[in-house]
Amino acid sequence: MLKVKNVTKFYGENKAVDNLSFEVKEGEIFGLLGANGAGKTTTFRMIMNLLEPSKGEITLNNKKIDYDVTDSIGFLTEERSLLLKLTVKELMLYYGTLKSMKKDEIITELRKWLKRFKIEDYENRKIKELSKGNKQKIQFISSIIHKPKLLILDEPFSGLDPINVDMFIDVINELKEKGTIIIFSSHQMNHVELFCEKLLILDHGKTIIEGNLKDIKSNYDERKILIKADVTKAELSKLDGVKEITIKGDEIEVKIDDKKYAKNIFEYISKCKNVTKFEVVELSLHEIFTKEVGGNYEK
Amino acid sequence: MKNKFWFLVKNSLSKKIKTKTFVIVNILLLIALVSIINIDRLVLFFGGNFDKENNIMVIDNTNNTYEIFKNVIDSEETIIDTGLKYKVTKVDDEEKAKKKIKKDEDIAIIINEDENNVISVKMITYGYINSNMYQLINSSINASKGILAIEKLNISEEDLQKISSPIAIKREYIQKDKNEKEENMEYIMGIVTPIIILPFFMLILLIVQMIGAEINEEKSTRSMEIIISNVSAKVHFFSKILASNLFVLMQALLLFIYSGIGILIRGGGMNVGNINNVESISKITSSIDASGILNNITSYIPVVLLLMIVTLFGYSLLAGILASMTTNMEDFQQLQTPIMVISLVGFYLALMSSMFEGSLFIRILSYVPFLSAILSPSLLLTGVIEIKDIILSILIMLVVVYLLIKYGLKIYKEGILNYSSSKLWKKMLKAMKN
Repeated sequence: MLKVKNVTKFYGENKAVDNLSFEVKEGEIFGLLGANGAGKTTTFRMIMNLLEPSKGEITLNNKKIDYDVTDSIGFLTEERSLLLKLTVKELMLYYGTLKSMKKDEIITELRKWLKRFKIEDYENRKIKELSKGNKQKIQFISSIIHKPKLLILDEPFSGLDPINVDMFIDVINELKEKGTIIIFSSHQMNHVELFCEKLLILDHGKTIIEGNLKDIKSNYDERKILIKADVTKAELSKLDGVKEITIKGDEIEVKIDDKKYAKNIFEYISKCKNVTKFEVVELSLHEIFTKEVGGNYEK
Repeated sequence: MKNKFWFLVKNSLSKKIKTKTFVIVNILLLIALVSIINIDRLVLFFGGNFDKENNIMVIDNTNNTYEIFKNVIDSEETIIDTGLKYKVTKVDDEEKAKKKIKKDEDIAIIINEDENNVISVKMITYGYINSNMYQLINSSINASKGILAIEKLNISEEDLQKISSPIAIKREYIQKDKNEKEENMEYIMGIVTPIIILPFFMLILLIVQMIGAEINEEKSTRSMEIIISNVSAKVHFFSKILASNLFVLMQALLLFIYSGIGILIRGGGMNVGNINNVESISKITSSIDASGILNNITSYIPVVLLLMIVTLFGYSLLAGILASMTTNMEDFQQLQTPIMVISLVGFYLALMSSMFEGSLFIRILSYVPFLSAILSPSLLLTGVIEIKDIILSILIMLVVVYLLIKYGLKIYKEGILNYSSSKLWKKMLKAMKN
């Protein structure tokens, strides 16, 4: 289990991370979210033992993270960390050996993953000659080649087409099944919703939302109602609790301040003609993120 | 961690060696060094001629000067020692001689005598001639003129021999320390400077550039985060420093071997006909012997080598620290300028060290870290400093290396994960205090 306990990090006077605490168990995917400069990279660097926390403690399976422990951590950085002049094989031998792997083991694992990602011909190709998507595949392989106990994925789908995104998702889910602790970070909230049961949103170093994704969403009183019926925008705007109305094709999206207003709206719609859809949905993670962080974003 | 350190050293070293650039550069260096050492043969091979024979054609209108001139010129050559080859022939007609002048080596000398029995000489050449050859002909003509005058005065052959024999000049020096030994030292310095100073200066440039490029490559591609998460910054830093120093020492050894190959090729073809080379080598060895260096060489070499190795290590530490502070190679090029200036100043001071005549200024500079290793070899050879001064320079350099490790490592740890160039120096000074 990864435990981040009351961690604070100062850069001079600036508090980059403020009293951060969370836990991630084996086989869990944890979403660590935040706008740019929220403190995510600093947190990752502290977990990777690149930075020492000013206060607090980080442990993996009750061991303080040191250079022995980092051998069992995989890190996919947001910006590509590949030595472009090397070939795929040379790079994996370099990174793999730094993770205390043996040469034969590295070659076997590399070939397995290259085949899995359908780039087995690229073993001796220079990294700089690869496409953006293939570079990302190589970076992903480099972070999982040593079968890490903890895997940090910072924007893993960057530069990938939908087919390759699905390929990555399958692998991430497999790793989860095998008990890998996964920390996932992305600005694409739909991706986060795909994986993360638990998440935490950072804003200027402070935790503003934390918990299970389901609970976070259901705890939000605000709702959206999707309607398909013979009803006008003007009619709907007169109803109690209606905050915003948007026409999306043949569908009307009505935002309400509180879920309690849904019943009255349903009663009104049920009297209209040609009602084919009435669905009350929770806010998406993207909407919650924008709502929570958006206001502070310019600070 | 220990294994990872050696892995990083091995990886860094093999990355440098297993490049096409390294192989190509070394092939070129081998060709260049062997060619420079054997340049005269190479020029000869391609049709050039270092030993061109000057064809001196004498038109003697006095009828009695030619034989004297022919003897005198040989005698003058033994005094002046131009090393030039020549042959003297008598030609009857000026026009015939002019027709034979087809290159710079063809010289016609027309000797006339006026009504007062005073000799005048006209020299016809193709173009400008070698100044040494002009000097040789000029002094030979003057000497011939003297001999002719003596002959006319009926002086015996014995007396004539005494008069015309070269005078041995015994030299005495007012300035006590300016003696023959010192002249030999200066001669040796002229040979040793390009052999020691220039290659060392080039090795400094090589090590600074190499460390800068390697650290910047890992930093700019963000691979540094992956590497530093697996090995400490300290391990990473020293692996780069060690690998670069080993590489440079290996390159120095290769240069030494290439020079050896060049000398072997030259030596293999040395024969009696190549007497000039034997003479040159004997002149060098006798100068070395006269300087007394041979007696001290066994203590000079290890001490100077040690100072050079410690200084190279110092330069590599400095380059590594500066490279960690920059985010790309362009920034590093700017930041390394002071290192380049220091080494360049040292290089020129070393070349000009004899001009300072052992002044206090040059002595003090010989202790200055980073300069000492460039300056000391020439100052040691010219006797300005002694072994104990070099040992002092080593100790000073070791203190600097210690300080660079102590404070530089703190900067390195902070610098390699810093990707912003704003308030850079402030950040680094702060890192030093931590």
